[in-house]
Amino acid sequence: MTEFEIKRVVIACDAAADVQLAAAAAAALAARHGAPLYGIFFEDENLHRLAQLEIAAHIGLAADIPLPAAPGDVLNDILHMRGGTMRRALETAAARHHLSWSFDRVLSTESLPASEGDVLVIEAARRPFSGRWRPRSRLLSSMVGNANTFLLRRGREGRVTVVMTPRDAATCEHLVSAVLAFAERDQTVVFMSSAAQIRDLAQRSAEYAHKLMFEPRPDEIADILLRLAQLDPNLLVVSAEENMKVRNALADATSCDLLVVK
Amino acid sequence: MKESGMVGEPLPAGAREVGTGSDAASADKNGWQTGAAIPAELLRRAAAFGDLTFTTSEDLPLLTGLVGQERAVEAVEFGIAMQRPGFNVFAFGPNGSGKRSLVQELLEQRAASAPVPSDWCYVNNFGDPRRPHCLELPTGRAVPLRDAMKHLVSELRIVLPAAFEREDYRSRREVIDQQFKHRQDEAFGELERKAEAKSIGLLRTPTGLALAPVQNGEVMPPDAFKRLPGEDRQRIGDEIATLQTELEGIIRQIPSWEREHRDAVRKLTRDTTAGVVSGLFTDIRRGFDDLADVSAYLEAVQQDILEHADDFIAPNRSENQAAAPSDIAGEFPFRRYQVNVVVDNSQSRGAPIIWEDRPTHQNLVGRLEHLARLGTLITDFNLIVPGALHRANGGYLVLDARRLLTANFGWEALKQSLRAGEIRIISLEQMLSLASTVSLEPEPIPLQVKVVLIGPPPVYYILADADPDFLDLFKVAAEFEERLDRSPETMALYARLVATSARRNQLRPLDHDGVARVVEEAVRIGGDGDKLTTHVSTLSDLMQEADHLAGIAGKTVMGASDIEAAVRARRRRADRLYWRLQEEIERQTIRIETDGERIGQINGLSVYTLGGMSFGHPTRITAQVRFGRGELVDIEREVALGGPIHSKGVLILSGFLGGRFGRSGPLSLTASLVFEQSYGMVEGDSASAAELFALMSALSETPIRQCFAVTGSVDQLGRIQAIGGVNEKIEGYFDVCQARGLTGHQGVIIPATNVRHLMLRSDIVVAAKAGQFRVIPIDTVDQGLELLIGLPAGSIDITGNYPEGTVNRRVAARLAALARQSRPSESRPRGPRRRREDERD
Repeated sequence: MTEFEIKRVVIACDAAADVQLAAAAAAALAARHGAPLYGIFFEDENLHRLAQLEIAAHIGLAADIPLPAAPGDVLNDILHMRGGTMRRALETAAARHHLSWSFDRVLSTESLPASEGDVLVIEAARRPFSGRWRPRSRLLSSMVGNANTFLLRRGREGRVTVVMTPRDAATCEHLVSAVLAFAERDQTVVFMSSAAQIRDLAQRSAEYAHKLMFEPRPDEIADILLRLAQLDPNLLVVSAEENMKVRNALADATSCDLLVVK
Repeated sequence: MKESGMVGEPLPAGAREVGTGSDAASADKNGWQTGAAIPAELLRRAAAFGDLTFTTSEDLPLLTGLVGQERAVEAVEFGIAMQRPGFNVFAFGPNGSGKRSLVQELLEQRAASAPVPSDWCYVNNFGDPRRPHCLELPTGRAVPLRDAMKHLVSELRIVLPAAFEREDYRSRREVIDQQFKHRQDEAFGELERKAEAKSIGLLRTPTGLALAPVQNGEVMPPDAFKRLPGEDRQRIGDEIATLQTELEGIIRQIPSWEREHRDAVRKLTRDTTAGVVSGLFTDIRRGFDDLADVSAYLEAVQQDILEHADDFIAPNRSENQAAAPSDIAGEFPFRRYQVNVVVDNSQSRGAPIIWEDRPTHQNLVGRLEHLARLGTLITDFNLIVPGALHRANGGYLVLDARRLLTANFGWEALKQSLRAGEIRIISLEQMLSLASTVSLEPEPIPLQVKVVLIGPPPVYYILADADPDFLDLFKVAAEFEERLDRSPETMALYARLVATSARRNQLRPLDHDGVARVVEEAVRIGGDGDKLTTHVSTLSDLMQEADHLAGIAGKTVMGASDIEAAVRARRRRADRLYWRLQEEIERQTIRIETDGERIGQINGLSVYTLGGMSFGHPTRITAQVRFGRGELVDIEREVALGGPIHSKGVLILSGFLGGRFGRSGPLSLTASLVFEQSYGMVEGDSASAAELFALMSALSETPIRQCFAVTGSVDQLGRIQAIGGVNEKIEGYFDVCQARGLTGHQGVIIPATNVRHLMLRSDIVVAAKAGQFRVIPIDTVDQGLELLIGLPAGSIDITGNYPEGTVNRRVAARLAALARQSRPSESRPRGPRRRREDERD
């Protein structure tokens, strides 16, 4: 089985993120693979614009009743402060693992580096089932929309993984190797599209056979989500080649970590 | 150190009968008479065991129970059998009289056939955790309940999480969550679409949401917005305001959606839990369905588990648990399902008998312990620790009365529990209103216990006098005798008692003489030749000491010599001060004369009691007489060294002199009495006879033979009365005389009523038998005067005079002379009286 190569770990967070979770996961991953760590704070130009638009309406969601959110001029201060927070979190995480690291701020998702061998780690606050609805962040939308390898870190603990293979059998082995590269797993369930695919992968991954379970991939998105709820994994691995509709649904409707593998 | 004439000892029985004539008659029958030396064999009456024959103590049958305590046995038996409130027992008597062993024996007999009481536990009160419930269970059922609950919790911790891991639960939960999510998605999605149609974006910001005009999917740059025509800006502003109102409406709805979601999740959790729990509870209920209280408790537990299933599902719920030792604390979310067994009688046979050596408030009624968690002290019903009353409930509780009274609030706690008929666990802080922190108030447990207090007589009498509750709560007084009558039967029983003690203490057997010597010591300790002490533990100690000495000597059987050696050794360990005093007498630093004659001087006898050791020694008493107004000056009293009883004795002398010599006129004398070289307190009236003899000698100007020492009190009629410590006093004087050389004239004059108390040392008996020392009993002052002065005392004739050549005649003559001396002053003309030299300030 080919080894999944990680050359660089990039952690990208926006102002709404809890950077501690992502920083710790990214630093651990970088340390595991001897890769350097790059931190990027996505300030989002839209927020800067919003801060200057007097006509914009700000609504807080912290309480049960809508409250006036921070006025526009405070928004800049918050962005600056959150950037500093991320830098310190990155510094601490890197120091713990003796990693080389760097930090930068960007205004646009187009400025996010994404070359071969990069893994982007982004953070999305854990979404318990009783959580409030929020618009998806621009950073997440960008990640899901692009076909790069990234880890959506939500802080779910556990050692069970579900790998969802696309119809294309060629990527199955790559996904499984990615799983093994990311962490020790007690159990990995692989959704396969056909019996032939299962046989083929079982042969290729014979040395990991005791960790792998294979089962047919449900056809409909709703069935996939239901089966995921039953398995309750802490990591879901999908291919970047997966259907966009499926990727969006998995990003929005699950609460586990999501690894999209290019 | 206390110097004493009588050491405050009570008068022996029969002392009040002196002078009635019956004693004199009986005295003759017993082989002695007043005014003459007592035969040596009566100075120490050897032990005789009647028909009981034995070679060693091994031949004697064991004795069960106590000798001579029939009254106490009857009282204790009555008290422990009487099943009514307040009939608790107070067993009191001297130390070592066998109170504890008797109470133990009688309680064991009674308790063995009594039913074993119930078990008791404390369990959580799910309605009000501050007031834990108590549960009464039939004997031996509490521990199974505790174990069943423990097993239930451990089962639930496995089964419940598994139930919530099952696919059917997860599927149902997913449906509920998705419904909630869909509701939000639809509402916000609709708003988002409406906004998008109007080129307005709904954005996520670090602090919430924002509505702003968008252009090509991005927020419109502020400059571009400013360049828009005014109508457009106005329209966008209005649209944003409208959308904001709609958005706020949706947000206001979210709490109710969340509530519905939570209710749906809770119902699912409850349904899932109920399915698992009901099966497990069926098994437990089956084991306790005959107990209504337990069934009710189990129902409450089941309901609570349904409400708190999350405790079993969430694995790391009690992150603070590490702060408490797990073996004590248990696991905190589940502690409320534990059963705290405070009384387990499963191993008991009969009713419990509890001896509580530290009867403090907490040790009696129990206490609430606390655990330190994160710097805070916490408690729950599992930390209820039972007290002695819990353990004794349904049986017997035995307490040392002195310890109970000196222990912290022990007496109050006991009284409250007995009065209320229940055990209420309340901390001292709460009881004294010292703390107002929130704590537990465990449900009180009904109390049915028989309390037996053991203590010395003064404690009983003090409580009876000072505490109005005492006699209501302790209606049965069991008083133990200090001594028992000496008779062949009791002597035989005593011999068996000695043998029993030797065997129980695994001592060498005693031969016949050894047993006799122990019994004689029992008589001596009793201080009465007709009595035996009940102070068995002292004799037991003596035998153990003798056994030790016999072991050193390589003997297999203890004899009289071993007992004697132990007595001597014991005395020697404690009599350093005694021999220092004897030494000072011998060196004449303390002046005591044992031969010759002196006017107004006599040897009195005192007893010292020091550290449990009593010994007697002579004291020189002198009297001086001069012209005066009928006053008798007690110098000890004047300098505040005389106690009230001593002063009373001296005042009685005035009464005697007045009665005998002052019938026809006032006594015109002033006399002073003093204990020479006495520098401590003098108490008791046992020297009053000696003081009277010294006074009569001074008045009659006739000398007293110094070879005698005298002890005894006197009444106003001149009759000699019994005193205490007669043996020690005689021995003290004998030692002085022996040190100087026994002359055959020396001896001690004692009250005739004290003859029955004689149990002197063997060496004195030997000296008396050889005619070297005498003990002479007297009944009256006149008998003493004749012995001491060597002249007849003289009886008053019909003319009111005493015969020539008698002591009384001389005294009367001297008093008459003093009276004549006073007459001229009385005939002086009236005027300011001159102060006389002998008048006190």
